[in-house]
Amino acid sequence: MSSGYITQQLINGLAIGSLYALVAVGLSMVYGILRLINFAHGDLMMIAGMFGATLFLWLSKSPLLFFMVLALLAGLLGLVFERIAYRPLRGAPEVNLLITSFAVSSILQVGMQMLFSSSPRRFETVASLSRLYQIGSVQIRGADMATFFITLLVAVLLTWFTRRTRTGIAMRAVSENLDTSMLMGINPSRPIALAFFIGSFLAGVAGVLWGWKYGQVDPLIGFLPGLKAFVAAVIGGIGSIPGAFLGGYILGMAEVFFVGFLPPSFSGYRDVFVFSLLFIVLLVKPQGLLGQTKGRRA
Amino acid sequence: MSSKLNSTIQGQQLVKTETLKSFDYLTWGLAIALIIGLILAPLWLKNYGLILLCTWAFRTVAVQGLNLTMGYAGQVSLAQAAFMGVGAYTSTLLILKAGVNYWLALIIALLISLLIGFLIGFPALRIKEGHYLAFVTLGFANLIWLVLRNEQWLTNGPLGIRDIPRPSIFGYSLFEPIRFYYFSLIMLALVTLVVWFILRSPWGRAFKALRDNPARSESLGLSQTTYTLLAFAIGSAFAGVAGVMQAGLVEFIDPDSFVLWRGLLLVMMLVVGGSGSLIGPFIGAAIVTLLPEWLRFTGEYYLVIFGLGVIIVMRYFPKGLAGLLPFVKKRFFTREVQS
Repeated sequence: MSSGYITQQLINGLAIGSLYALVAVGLSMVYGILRLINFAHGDLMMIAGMFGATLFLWLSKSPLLFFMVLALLAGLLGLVFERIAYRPLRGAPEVNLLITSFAVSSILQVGMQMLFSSSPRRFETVASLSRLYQIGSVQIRGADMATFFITLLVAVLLTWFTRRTRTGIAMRAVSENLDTSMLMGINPSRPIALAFFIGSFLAGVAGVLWGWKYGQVDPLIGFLPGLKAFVAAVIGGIGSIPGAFLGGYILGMAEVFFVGFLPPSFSGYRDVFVFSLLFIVLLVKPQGLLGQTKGRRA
Repeated sequence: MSSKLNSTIQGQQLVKTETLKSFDYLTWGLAIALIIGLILAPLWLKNYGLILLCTWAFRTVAVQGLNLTMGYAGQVSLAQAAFMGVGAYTSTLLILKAGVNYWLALIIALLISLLIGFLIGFPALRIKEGHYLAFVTLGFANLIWLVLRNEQWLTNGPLGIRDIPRPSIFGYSLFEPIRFYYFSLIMLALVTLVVWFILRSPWGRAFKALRDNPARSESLGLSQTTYTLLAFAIGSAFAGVAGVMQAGLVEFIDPDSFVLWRGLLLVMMLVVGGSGSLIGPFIGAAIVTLLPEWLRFTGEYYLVIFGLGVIIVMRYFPKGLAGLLPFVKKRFFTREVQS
């Protein structure tokens, strides 16, 4: 097994991990505040992908505009659902939120099936993204490189936002302790809506990148990646934004190395491995790798 | 029975109210009418209707189990369908491959679900805060699905297992839909009785006490971990039984019947019906089973309508439809008494 092969796998892992990380961030932020396991989050990624497959010709002149339109679409949808489905449930049992998100997920999936049919759609790409770039002994696809650098940019921007801006700090405060932050005069509605918007926006970004990576999309692509991204968020420490990135990359690496270094007959067990990883982390460090144990409150 | 007296403070005044006896008569009357209706149902239902009612029965059993975990112990399990899969596959494989008697297979399936419930619940429930059981059962539900798909030598993989036999008792075959219907009904009645007894036993009271005031109950010496674990394991065993009932009814099982979202559907039945109440699971399972039949004319729009319906129920009836009962009782069957 050459070092080139290992480097190649490492790069593949980074590319997949970036996608998981982008989806996991939104799940982690929303869970951190509302304690909602958002089953509809992966479907926002799917929606960006489905509309991307449709709107490509229209927007192919400017990839940046294409990107922003789709990410904004996902972000706005996230806001809309927060407003009509989740906000009225504040104060209701947490499991009601979970069930609502499941309902939203099925509405989105069936809605897309009705709008576009359930068959896979080709996701067009641009030449510079589908090209293979040769760097030393490894080959990197343009789309994977774009995915990695976009995720890096997102990580930097999010860190700056949550550490340096008033709104970002308010968001972390609400996430840490909703009641105390309200006593401190923070109106939680804004940070919650913002968490939904940012998370859904990033899911939209991931949807476009997903389309570029795999070349096709269909109305059911969202559920499993959403689930795995949630696993990533739990592994990294749910509620923590750096944790979501760490978890995403761990999951991506674990998947790639599991398939890349074991005989092909094991490849069916990739997801078994992923979910077992969740068990191990929960057993050893229940709050996740970067999660903080919250002080006991009466 | 003497009338129940309640006192509440409204503003400055102590108001004493009593529940009208007609409320008791009405609820008991309705319950008895429903039971008689279910017993007589084969008189006017054809096979399809009976199969629907059997589906309702096994779903109610599974949701009743979930009710112990969620409604009384306050922990979310997303693996109830996976436990149904454990029960269904255990019993089917024992019957078809090992030639085990149906009833013995049923009991083994129940015990294995119970055991797995303990094994999963033990590490997961050490942590009380947060949704650790939900996370762990989310992983477990996916693992079970993947194992059922991958281990083709045992489970026949995604193709599933066909021609699952229905039971017979003392040489009396329960194959005919009408007979299988009564079998399902009796199982449902048994499970309901078990839940009823659990809830009225000191155990059940401990469950409720821990749900309603954990700090106080722990100070009285009740171990939250132990009781939650018990509730989860017993609830999972119910799912195992429901899985055996499903396998016999459908005569076919495959991994997709027990996938994660089926577990979410069971959680949905519980929450829509009303968690923490004995009749909630009956209502929730009935709605999720019967509504698709009534809404058949909507075709592909069905899931969208259903999803919107769930959002509306969650918004306006956060305690589920069974939560309407105390409201009706207070609004229409309560009167003030002069003290």
